[in-house]
Amino acid sequence: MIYTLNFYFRIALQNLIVHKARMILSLLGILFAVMSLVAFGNISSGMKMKIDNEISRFGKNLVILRSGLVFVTGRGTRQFSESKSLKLQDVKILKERLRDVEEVVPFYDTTYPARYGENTLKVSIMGATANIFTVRNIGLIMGRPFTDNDDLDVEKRAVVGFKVYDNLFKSDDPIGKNILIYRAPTEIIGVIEEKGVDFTGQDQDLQVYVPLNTFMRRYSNIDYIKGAYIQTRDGVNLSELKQRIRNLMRRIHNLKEGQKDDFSIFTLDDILRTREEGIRLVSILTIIASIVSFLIGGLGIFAIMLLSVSERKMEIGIRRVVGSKKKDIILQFLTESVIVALIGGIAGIIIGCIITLIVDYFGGFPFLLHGQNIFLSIFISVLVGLAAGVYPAMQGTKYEPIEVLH
Amino acid sequence: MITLKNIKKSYFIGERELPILKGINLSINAGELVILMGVSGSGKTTLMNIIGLLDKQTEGEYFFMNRSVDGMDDESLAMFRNEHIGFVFQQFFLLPYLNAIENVLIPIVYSKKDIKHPRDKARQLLARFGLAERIHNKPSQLSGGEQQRVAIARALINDPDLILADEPTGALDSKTGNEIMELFRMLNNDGKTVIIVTHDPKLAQFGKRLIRIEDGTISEDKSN
Repeated sequence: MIYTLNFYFRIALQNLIVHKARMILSLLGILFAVMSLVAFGNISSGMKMKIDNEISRFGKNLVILRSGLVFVTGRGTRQFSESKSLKLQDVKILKERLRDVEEVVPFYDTTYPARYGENTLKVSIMGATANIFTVRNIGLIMGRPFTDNDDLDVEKRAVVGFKVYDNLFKSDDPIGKNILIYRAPTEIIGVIEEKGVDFTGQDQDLQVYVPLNTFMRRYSNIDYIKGAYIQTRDGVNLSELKQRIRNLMRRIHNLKEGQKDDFSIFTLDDILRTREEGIRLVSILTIIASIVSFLIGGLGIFAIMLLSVSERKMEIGIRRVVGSKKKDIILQFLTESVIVALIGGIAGIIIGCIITLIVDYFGGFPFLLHGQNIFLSIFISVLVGLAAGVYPAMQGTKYEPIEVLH
Repeated sequence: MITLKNIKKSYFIGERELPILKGINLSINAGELVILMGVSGSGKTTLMNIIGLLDKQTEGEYFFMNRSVDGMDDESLAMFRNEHIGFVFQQFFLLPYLNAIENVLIPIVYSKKDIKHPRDKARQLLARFGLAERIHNKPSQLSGGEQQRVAIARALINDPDLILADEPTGALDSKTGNEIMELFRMLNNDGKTVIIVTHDPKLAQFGKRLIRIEDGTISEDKSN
């Protein structure tokens, strides 16, 4: 049996070599089908991983509350109406009243130039409570984060992003040095590791974090905040939580029915998963295209196998004469059509992976192999090869030796 | 070895019966070298097909090694051919994309016999027929005589009891044809039973027994 299959395999390969152009043509359909399935599967898992990475880099299980309403106009542009109605007290109530909420980080963010000696740099300043470092996953390479005590004591202390340190201090030790923010000398107590640009386009390395109380009383003298990060336990349904926050916020702000919200609530998933919606649409199109390609590929193999069988009457005849049974003839031609389909499938996987590499390189996605699509591709290729080979193989058994050998 | 009793074979064209063999009685013993001679249309090819179990008679009985083969189905016939008969044809019928030794090995694929080291055996057979240097050549790289030797090696690889050759020299020049006939004689001297079907009277001298077919019957059967 092994010897027989091995023999069929060698014969099939010899035939492939003899009829190169024809065989390549017939396996193109399968090649394209597998290529698109594999490339798409790989690329979309890379994209998903990138999104997951971005989410976990930004902080897990976060709902973001912002003052002012973001709404979508008829032309699809985003509009933002400013509001000064969000107070620190509101956030405290949220923390007290809402189930599932583990941490709340009120913040105020703005852009302002920071100065050190001769150098000035436009930075994003964020005043926030000390728990922002855990909630937002902010790791330091130097110094320490500020604490609740720094916040309570309205200390002018700052933790700065990597580029702030790099641009203002070059290689000097920044810890304990003062930079000027709002003309107030502020002591640098920590430097954040390099984080790059986040999904909103914000350069994380240009951030300067200061205690919220310091910001509100010493720099800016304001009584409202811009927003809050709300972190929940694992496994909480974020869209349901969003609704609960909204209801509570409307009550706190005494909004009547018919009045618009004066705040917005969103999650990272809202922003990032819309991209996955896009991926899902493309995936349906890819699957349809693959099915069509597999069908065309199957027809191609079917046609070539029919041709091959009718060209090889003599071979069938002589095989029958020397002892081949009809089922051996069928097995032989099925082996051939499956091998053609498999070669198409394997070539498709290789080309699909090459496409993945190129797209991942330019798209900045991590390179991932979508194992499920790869195995599925191989499996479907074999099935298509079998299905396309059955009829031609049966035709092959109709040639009787005495008819084709004289 | 084989016994044919009153073998008749007819083809039907519409309602009309066209008799090809009209009652052949024939017995061939192990170790014989038989020339089955007849002109085109005499029925010799049909007789060969029946002897070779490629076709079935309309009437009569056929015994191969004392065993009736009349009731056997396609599968059993295929196995029986593989086990007992080696075929040689006028057109050689080598597979063009396989080299000499792979062509010789084809029957092994279907063989139930326990042939030890078939590749070595194929190599020995080809070497014995003067093709030691040609075992990796494709048929298109071989002369007609060489191709026929490969075909004969293929007929022998599975140790058959009977060699059945249909016009084995028909596609060859007379010198090469004679060499091929000498080869059959050599195989017969080694003990193989050989039946050669031909229309060529010049081949009669190579046989030990001459059977002449004329118009579907045996018109002459003589041993030298």
